[in-house]
Amino acid sequence: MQEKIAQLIASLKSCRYITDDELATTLVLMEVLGRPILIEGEAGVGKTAIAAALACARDTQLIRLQCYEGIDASSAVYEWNYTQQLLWIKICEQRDESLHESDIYDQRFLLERPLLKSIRQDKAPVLLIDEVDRADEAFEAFLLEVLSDFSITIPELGTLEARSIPHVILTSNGTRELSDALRRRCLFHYVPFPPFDKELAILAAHLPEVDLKLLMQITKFVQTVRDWDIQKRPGVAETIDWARALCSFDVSLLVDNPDIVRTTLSCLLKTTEDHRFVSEQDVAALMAKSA
Amino acid sequence: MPEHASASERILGFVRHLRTAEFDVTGEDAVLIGRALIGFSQPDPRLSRNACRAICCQKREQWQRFDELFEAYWLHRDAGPQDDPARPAEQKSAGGTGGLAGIGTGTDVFDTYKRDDAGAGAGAGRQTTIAKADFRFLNNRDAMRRVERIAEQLASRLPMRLGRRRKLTTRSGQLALGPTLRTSVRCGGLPLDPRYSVRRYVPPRLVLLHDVSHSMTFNNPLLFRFTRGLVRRFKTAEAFVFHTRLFRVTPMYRQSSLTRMKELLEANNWLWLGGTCIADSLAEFRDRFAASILEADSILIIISDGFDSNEPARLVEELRALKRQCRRLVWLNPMLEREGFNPDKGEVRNVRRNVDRLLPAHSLEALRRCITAMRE
Repeated sequence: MQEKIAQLIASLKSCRYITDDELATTLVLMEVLGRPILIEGEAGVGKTAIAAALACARDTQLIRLQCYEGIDASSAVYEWNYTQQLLWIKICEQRDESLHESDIYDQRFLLERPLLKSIRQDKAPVLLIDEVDRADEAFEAFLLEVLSDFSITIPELGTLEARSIPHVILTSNGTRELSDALRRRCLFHYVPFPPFDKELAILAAHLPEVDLKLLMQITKFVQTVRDWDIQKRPGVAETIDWARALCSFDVSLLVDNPDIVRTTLSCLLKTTEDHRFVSEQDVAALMAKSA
Repeated sequence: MPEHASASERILGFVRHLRTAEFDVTGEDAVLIGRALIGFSQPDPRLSRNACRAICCQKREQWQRFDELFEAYWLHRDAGPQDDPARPAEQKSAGGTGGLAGIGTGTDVFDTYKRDDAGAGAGAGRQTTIAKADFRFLNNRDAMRRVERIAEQLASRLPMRLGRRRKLTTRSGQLALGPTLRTSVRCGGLPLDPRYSVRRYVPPRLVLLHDVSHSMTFNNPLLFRFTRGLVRRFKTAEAFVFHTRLFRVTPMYRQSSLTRMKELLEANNWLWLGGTCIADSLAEFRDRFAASILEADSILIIISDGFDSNEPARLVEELRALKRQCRRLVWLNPMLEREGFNPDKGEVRNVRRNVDRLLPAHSLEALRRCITAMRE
C-alpha cells in the first residue's frame, strides 16, 4: 500500500496536481476497496481537479456528471433518441418493411449519459459526479442504487452490467446536507484551504516559468486575504488566476507594482462587498508584509 | 484497550470508541478498516490514520475531530479539550474553562440540567426540563447541542413567502411550454405528458443583532447556539454581534465546526464582554449594512437585555428608523419574565412602543413562543 500511495503522489504530481499522503491514501483506498469517494471543501480548493488529475495519472477517461437542481435519470443515465426513432419508423414505412419493437429500441438509438457511459467502458474510467449537493434528494436516492450495483436496467433492453467498475468521485460544496445513506456508502475526504508550502508548490507546478520569489509573495498575500472577514474567500483556483494575471503584466515583485496589484485584485475578490471591505491601505500594508 | 488484544479486537474497540463520539461507524466499516490496514506492508501510524479517517468520517466536523480520537485510542494520548464527547462526563465537567463569552465552554457550575436529567429518567422529562429551564442554569454541553437542533427545528416553522423562481411539477400549476414540448417528442408531438411549474416558497430574510455585552453573559451560551442554528438553517440569514461596536459574524456562524467558529471569533477578538451601546450599534448597522441587507420582507431580530449606556431617546430614534426598513422588528429580551425585572420601566416601555413585538427569551419554551409569534 505504501508503494501505491507514493506512486500515486508522484503520478499526480506529473499531472500537475500536488497532493499529500492524506488524499493519496483515500484515493488508493477507493481503488482497493472499490468504494466511491465523497470530497467536500470550500469552492476553489481543487475538488474537481482531483478527478481530472486521477484520470490523467491512471491514463483513463474522465466522465463528468454535473449535478443541478432538477437533474433526472434521463440526463444522467440514458435517453432514447426519439427523433431518430421517428425517422427510422418513417423510413421503414416508405420501404414497406415490417417493424418490430426491438428494431426501434435498439442500442443505436440509445443516447448514453454519463452514468451509463461510465459502466460501459472497457478500462475503468474516473466518474466525476460534481456538486452532488445541488441535485434533488430523489436523484440522490437513485444515485445510491446505481453506485451500489453498478448495473442499470433499461426496460426495453434489460439490465446492463458494468464492464468495468468506474472510480467514482463525488464532490459537494455543502449547500445542502447529503443523506446519511449516501455518506455511509462513500469514503470521505475534506479538502481545506492549503497551507503556505502546499499552495506555493501548487503555484510552482502550474507556473514553472515564474520567479519563485514572486510566487512566494503571491501566496503570502492570498493566505492573509483568506483570514480577512470577506464574503468569498479566494481558493487555489483564484490564486492561480491572479498569478497568471500578474505575469501577463510582467510583474516581478508585488511592492513595485501597487497599481497592477489593485487592478488585478478582482481575480481574488469576487463580490462588491469584498471590494468595499478591502481598502487601499489594507492592500498597501499587505504588499509590504508580503515583500 | 487491552495491551494484548488481537488486531480485530482492537479494531472493534476503536469502532466502539468512535461510536461513543457520535460517529456513525458500522460493522462493515470495521471490516474495511481491517482490509485497509492489512494492505500496509509495515505499520505506519500516519497512513493508517489516513485510511481509518477516510473510512470512518462522513462529515467535515468528524474529519476535524478524528485525529484526537485516533491518537487517544491508538497512541494513548489525551483526547484534548473537554469538547470531545467521547470522554466520560466526569472528565468533561472537571476543570472547565471560562471560554469566549460562554460559547459552549462554560463550566458546569450552574448545571441543573444534569441534576434534573438524573431525576427525570425518561426522555420526555428531560425535554420538558430543558424546555422550561432558564438559560442562566443551562450550560451543559449536551443541552447546548440540543438547543441548536431545536433552534433549527423552530426555524423551519417560520412563515414562508412565494418566491419568483419556479420549479417544475408533473401535477398542478402553470403549464410549462418548453418542458411539455420536450416530453411530447416521445409521443410523436402529442402533449400527453404535460409539465407544470409552480412558484417556490422561500423563507424571509432573517437579520439577527445579538448583544454580547457583560450583562448578557449568563444568557449567551444558549442564545449563541440559537442564533447559529437560525443562520445555518437559512442561507440568506445574517448575524451580527454588538457591545460597544457592531460586528458581522455570519461567516463564522456558518462554519460547521464549532471549534473553528470559536477560533475565528477569538482570533478577531470580537466577543468582548464589556459595556453596551445599543443605539450606537444600531446606528452602525444602519449606516454600514442596512441598505444592502435589509429587504422589505426581512425580519429583524434584536437579542438584548436592553441595558444601554446611550441616551434612551437615541435608541428610540434608531428603532423607529429600523422599523421602517423591515417587515417586522422583534426584540427578544431574556430578562423580560425574570423575577425582579420590571417590564414597565422607562427603557423597556420605550422599546415596546417602537418594535413590532417584544418577547421573552430566557428559555427554550420562550424561544418557541417567539417563533410562533413571528408567524402571526
